[in-house]
Amino acid sequence: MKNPQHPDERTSADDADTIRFHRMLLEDLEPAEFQQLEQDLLASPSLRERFMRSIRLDLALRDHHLGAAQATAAPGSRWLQFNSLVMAIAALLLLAAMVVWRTNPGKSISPTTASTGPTAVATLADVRDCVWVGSQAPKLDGRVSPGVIELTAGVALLQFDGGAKLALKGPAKLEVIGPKAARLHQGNATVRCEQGIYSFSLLTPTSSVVDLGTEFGVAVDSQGASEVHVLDGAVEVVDTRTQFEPGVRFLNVGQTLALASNGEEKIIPGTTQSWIRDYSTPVDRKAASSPPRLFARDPFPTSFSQPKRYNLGTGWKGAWWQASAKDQGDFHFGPLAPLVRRDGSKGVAMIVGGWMEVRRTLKEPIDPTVPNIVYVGFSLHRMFPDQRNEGKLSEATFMLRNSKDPTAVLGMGLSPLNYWVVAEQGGWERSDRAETGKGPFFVVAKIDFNPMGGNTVSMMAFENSEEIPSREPEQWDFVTQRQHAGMTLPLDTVALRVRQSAFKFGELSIGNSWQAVVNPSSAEN
Amino acid sequence: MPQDENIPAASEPADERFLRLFVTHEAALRVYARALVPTWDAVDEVIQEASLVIWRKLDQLETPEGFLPWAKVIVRFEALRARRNFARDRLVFSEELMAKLAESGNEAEVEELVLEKTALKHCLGKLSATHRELVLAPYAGSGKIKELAEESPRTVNSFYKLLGRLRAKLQLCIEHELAKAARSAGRSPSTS
Repeated sequence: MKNPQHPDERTSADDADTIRFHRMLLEDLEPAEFQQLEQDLLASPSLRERFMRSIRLDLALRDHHLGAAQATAAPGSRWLQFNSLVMAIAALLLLAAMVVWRTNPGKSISPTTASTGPTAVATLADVRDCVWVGSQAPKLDGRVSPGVIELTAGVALLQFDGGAKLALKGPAKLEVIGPKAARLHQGNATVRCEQGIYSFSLLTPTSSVVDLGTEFGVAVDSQGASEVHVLDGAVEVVDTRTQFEPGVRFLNVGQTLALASNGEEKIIPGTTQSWIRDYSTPVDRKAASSPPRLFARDPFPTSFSQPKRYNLGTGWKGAWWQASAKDQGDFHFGPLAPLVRRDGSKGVAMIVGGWMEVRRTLKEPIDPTVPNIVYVGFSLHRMFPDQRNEGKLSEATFMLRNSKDPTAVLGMGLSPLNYWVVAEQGGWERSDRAETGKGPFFVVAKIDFNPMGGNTVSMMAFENSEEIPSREPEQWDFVTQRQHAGMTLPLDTVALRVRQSAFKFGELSIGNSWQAVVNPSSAEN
Repeated sequence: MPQDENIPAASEPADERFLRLFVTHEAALRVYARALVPTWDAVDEVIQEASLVIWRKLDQLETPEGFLPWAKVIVRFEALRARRNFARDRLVFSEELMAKLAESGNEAEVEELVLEKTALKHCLGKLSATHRELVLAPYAGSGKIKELAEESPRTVNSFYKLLGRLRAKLQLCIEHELAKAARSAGRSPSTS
């Protein structure tokens, strides 16, 4: 994806969404804008959640306004009378609930968990030479409830349930508040969060640092002075000592803000700290240390002089075949112009056109019922990419599927509106922004099969002009926010599906690591 | 295990059962209804009709945990019915999106909303009088924002942009206040 989310762009886009929500609620959208909003909401579960949050705020504001106007209100309608009754009973029930809460204030705010003690909100994902304050050292992979964690040395990695990773470098004192918030009393911490507006807040003695889909570091000294440094993306720093309005400041990547203990702040030329940016866990490191291995690969013919066969490569049973005789389309080999192969060389692509799905059987089916990470790499080029205005853009999907049950399928591809999409039976999710490049692309997808929590898919796409990193990047361009459903059947088939017009598919690899699919020559078959 | 406060006992009278469930989830239902119909007045009508249907059909509900999704289906049907009365030029979402939105925003429980409202009051107090007036303007009549715009050098469009920013700030402020409230609860001596 050629359009990395520039901090300013991301912020303005998020703001634009918020404004769209509120304009919609105020009936101020033009029909075309309304339709676009509907399409976007259909496509993005996270956008729908944010939309509902906007409505909650709208409801609270309306109730506030109604409450303020109550003294002068006219006699109520039938609904208002009914509502008054309900609200009266609600007040009584609420009072009862609050009494219960007040008598158990330390256990939980939620009555559903009041009897079970504080709810864990994070997991201790890694410990590196940690020396803990106190006699009981937290356990690796143990759950962490709200409370204080104190280190005299070493690095502890916390994976918050809200999605953020926090690396705490000792000596440090951190107060875990909730799945999306913590307070750093002293020491040095870095936070990384893949996505989501206001998805994590790290509080300091004088401020609150709110990530906007980013990575940042915060250091607090023994006097309460702090430093905020943006390592990636952008953050919002809210001065909690002053008035709300003037205290908000945006920081972009590379910027450093020094905050004195009295709340005074200033931008400084560079950071004075060293920041921990390794968020890997022992499982990650074990996977990374495993030699790269290819489960299957089809290089396709590399030149026109080579026989154009559909059964090249390793890890397959048989050749590509047409999934259905009813498909209206064709697949054949054709020259690559412009080039699809990511090494820039000329070669041959498999062209799949019309309404067509071609399949090939894996020799080694993928078992989605055990925790497992699978990487996929393939070249992709939409033919006729300028047909957007004619409404004829095609879509292409790479799919892993079960040969017997058509509902056991997980796909990733490019939509007609040029969004990267992850799809499964019963749902799909797309990238926040449309792909701006026309391709050809080299697409890498990481499928984290998690039978307990649901599968997560990460995607990146590179154009020929872009350099593909040799190591897996810390941050992917598109990570599914919805946890895709667990699967119970082996995925024994690869399918390439095209709808309308045509796509070219180049080399295709499935392996156990980024390196295996990006640099197949380094991998074992 | 102590009984969950939100789950009514099996022997609870039907009307009390209804009220308890409805009150617990009313805000979530109103938020959902607002996504389906174009005004808060329409929401009030939809919720009123839906509540009567819910009352009548409550014996069909198998478990209390299933109340919210079940009630949302009823709200959706009532919203579809109400939409027939709207002028054709009113913009409303498709049934497909209506169904998808039913899966979102289910976290609004009554005590959280009370805390949110307290936080909102606090955060509104931090806004300037001008901004506070703008944030509340949409509820003071259809022409209030235009009226404010006419009194200033700003355009209506810029007022909406400012309104969006102010609401985003309010959201942030509310989250901070909720975090503080959670922290206060966690620090209580009775945690030991």
